[in-house]
Amino acid sequence: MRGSRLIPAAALASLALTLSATPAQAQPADLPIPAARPGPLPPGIAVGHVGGKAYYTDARGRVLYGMDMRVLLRAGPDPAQFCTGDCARTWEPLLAPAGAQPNIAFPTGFGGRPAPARPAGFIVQPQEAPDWTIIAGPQGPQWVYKGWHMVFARRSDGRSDRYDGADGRVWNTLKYVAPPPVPAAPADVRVQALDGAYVLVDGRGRRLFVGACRQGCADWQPFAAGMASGTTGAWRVSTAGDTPQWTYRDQPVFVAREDSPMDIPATAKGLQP
Amino acid sequence: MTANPHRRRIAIAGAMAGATLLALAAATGLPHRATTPARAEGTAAPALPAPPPGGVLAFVVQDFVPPVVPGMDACPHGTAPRLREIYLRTLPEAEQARLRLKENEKELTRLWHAYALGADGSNICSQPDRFQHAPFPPVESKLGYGLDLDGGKPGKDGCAHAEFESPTGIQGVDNQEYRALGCQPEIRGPDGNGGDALTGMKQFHTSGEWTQVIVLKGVDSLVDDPDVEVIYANTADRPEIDSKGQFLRGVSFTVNDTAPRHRNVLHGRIHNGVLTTDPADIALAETWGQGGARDIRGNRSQYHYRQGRLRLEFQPDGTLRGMIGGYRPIFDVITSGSLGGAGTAVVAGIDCAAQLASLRQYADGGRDPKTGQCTTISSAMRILAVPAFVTDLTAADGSTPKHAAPNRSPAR
Repeated sequence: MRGSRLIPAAALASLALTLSATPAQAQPADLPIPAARPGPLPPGIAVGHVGGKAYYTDARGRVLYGMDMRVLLRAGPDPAQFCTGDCARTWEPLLAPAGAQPNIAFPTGFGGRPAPARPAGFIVQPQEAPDWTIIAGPQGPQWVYKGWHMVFARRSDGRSDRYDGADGRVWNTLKYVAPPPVPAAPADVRVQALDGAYVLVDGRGRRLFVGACRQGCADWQPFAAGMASGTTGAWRVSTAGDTPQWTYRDQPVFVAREDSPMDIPATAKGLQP
Repeated sequence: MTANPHRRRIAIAGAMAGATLLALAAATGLPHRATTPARAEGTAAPALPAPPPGGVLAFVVQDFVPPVVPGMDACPHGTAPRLREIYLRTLPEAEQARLRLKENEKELTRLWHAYALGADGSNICSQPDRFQHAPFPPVESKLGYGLDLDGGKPGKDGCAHAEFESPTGIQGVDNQEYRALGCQPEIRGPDGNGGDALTGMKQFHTSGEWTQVIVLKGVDSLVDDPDVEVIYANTADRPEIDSKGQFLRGVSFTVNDTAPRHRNVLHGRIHNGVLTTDPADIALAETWGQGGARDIRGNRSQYHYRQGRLRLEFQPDGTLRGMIGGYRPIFDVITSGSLGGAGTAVVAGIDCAAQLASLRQYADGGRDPKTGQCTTISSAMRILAVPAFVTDLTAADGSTPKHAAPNRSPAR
């Protein structure tokens, strides 16, 4: 066997993380769920649990759902205005504080009428939005999560998560995934999700690991330290070998192969933040 | 450190299959033809080798394109008009003539662009339901490629429709999508051959965006075997191609292990050298709108074949050739245009509302008992798959199968 993954996936499945090559901003359960960004939550929003799963909740403890505007494109030119009538009788919008000004809108697309003039700071690309923005909804300014998901709670059965994926994945629970930690590490070290946990990788996405190689050490490639590298937290530069190599807590650090960047040798220990 | 033994086992199986068939092809001097006509029922299978030990064969799909019967007999009125022309035909002849004058081109452009937009900001492609346009002229020929999905007559969830006969004599072919849109210039070029869409779609497979793999397990004979497991899936791996754009054989792939995986497990049988699978829902990646702000990266646009099935013929050159058929939700067919929005209409000139009207008119599956209207349409794609090494990941999250049980042929 080429290598092993240190984290048993089943034990960490509750984190609802999947390895994501791209930072898809999606909450539907069949797409990678992005982590929350660090920062305060809007007033009244908290993180609660249903059946061991973490969701955003409102001030009454109801599970918050996102209405995925992208799925509603066929329904009208501005999906932000979709939820009226029966929809509004079932779903209660999470309204922004009185007087709040919208700072995001559903994009108009190419070739249509030009978008109206927007004030400075208005977000025109939802995929670049911060976690919480405000959109002009049918009942007033309303919170939006990660650019695409207008936030609602169910008026009845509000503490249930069983409507996740309802109506062709228009409605999706707002799943909470903790922001990745920010380790004290060299600039070339990044944090990446893998099998429901976070691991450390280098700037090319190759997993970092430590350990002792007993035989067949060709795949134990030193994690090279660049020129002028210095101590960063528990990371130091070793010059004992042919090239400067990072060490972590005085253990030499190695990097996975380019062609299988997540696989590490069976006797190695992958680094985590 | 050693290679994953499970991966190696599949790879070896694939390699032996490919090597065996390639050796036969070399011995018989058979060319690698770009297209091979489908065998009609009752036609004898060509000489085929024994399957490899372990009974596992693997392929990567090179061609996955709408099957077009070449020529303009199918479309005696020519290919479908562009939106500019459709707009002009709504006007009195004198006004048409005036706007067609070169000096009025700017005015005409403004008018037909406006024809694509609704007063409420909707557009003819993202919200085609809001525009009432006549359907396009259909394919009028009796000839069409595809599969017989309904056994010759629509079931209780189908709608009455005419059926095609394949150019090789297969009767009862259900491919109403071809009937509805087979005269679109994207599907049929002005010379009657396949249009630009076919070239563009191949690029999606070549780039790794849509690439598909097929793994056959438990194959005891390439001529007759009543029990075969078929894995039809997407892979994130990019094919290697030669200088003519053909996929290289023997390249390694791994079944997609990130959501949405699109790993379809089918049951099939081989008779007379033809593999057919039982009807089942089949979902495959169909990502549109790359880079578009409204794109959802393929999850809401996908190939979804309800009651889908494969009919693939083993070829002496080692390839698989044939069709996938099934019923697609009618809006799926125009998802690309819908995501493109107004740009699809005013830049590409596509009338999505007319397309939707055509699809509704010829829909023949998924009959809504309340309205009596059919909501899905029979469809087919031509498949050419070449031998490959494929690692099948069986687990849903893609994280554990590398440690799971070997991918052996199922017990017989």
